[in-house]
Amino acid sequence: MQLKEFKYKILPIKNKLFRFALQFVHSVSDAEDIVQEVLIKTWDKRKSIHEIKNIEAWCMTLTRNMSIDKLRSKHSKVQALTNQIDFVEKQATPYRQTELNDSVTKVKQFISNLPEKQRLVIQLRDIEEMSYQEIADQLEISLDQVKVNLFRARKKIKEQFLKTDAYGL
Amino acid sequence: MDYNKIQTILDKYWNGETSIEEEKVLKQYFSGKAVDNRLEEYRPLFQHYIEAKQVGLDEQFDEQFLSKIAPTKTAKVRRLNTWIRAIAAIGLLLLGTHFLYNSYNKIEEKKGAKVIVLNDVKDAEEALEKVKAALYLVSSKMNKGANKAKVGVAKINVLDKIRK
Repeated sequence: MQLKEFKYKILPIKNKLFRFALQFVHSVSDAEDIVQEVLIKTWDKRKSIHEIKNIEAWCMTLTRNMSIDKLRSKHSKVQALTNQIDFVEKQATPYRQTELNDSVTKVKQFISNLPEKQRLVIQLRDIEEMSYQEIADQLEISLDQVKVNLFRARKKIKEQFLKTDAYGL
Repeated sequence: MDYNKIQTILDKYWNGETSIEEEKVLKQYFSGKAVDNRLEEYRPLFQHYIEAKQVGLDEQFDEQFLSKIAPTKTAKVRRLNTWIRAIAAIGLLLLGTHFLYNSYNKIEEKKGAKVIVLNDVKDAEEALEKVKAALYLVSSKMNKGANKAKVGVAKINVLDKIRK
């Protein structure tokens, strides 16, 4: 694979990889580093890349594994806490995000506080628009697990809406 | 789109029964202007889904990444290019000198030939005859050309008349 092909085939999925990495590391700079490492690894593999059936899925898996590794290497709780703050602050800046109104921010925060699996399934389904099978493959869980987690996540979101509605009264 | 239809899809959505297409319909509906008042409260959720997909890396990232994978390669190509150019320049120079040298030699040969001709014709009369013959040849060729031109012009005139 030449640089030109790499630029239009692989490079454009960087944003999806970035959003996926963010689901694990919660830090913009860490996620950026991970995506860069993933792309470099993919580039280094360019000679045998045609053997890989689904490059995008392969990159996603690599992103997930590297994100988990990154988290493990930073096992200190203090660090995780600062990362969380880092995430919230950076997300609110216009650097990468369009202007957000309050209610959208609230929804976002609520979803980011869901249990990891539910949050990941919401990310891959409702944001990335992936099929159940793709999500199951990506997260290495069963199809049923995907459906159950999605159902639970949406149920919680709905309940949250009903709750805020009640408060509104 | 009417309220009932969206409400039905929304119910399916909460139950985890929607297809990706139906979810796209919801996103489209809630990002539009005509959201029913009864559904307005869910707008932020779908707005969030749409906006969250816009989150990404900027061009600076591309530059940084490409400079990490490409520098050695482009530098090598550049170095190779310089060599190719240098060799091509030397080649052109050699070719040019070769042609120049050859044509110079030919001029020299021709000059030599003239001298020989003149030397051969010792008799002045003979020389005059030779010059006359040469001039006659030139003149006859020119007449031939002029005649052909005349015929051509005549033909054009005929055509011109027909046109008129």
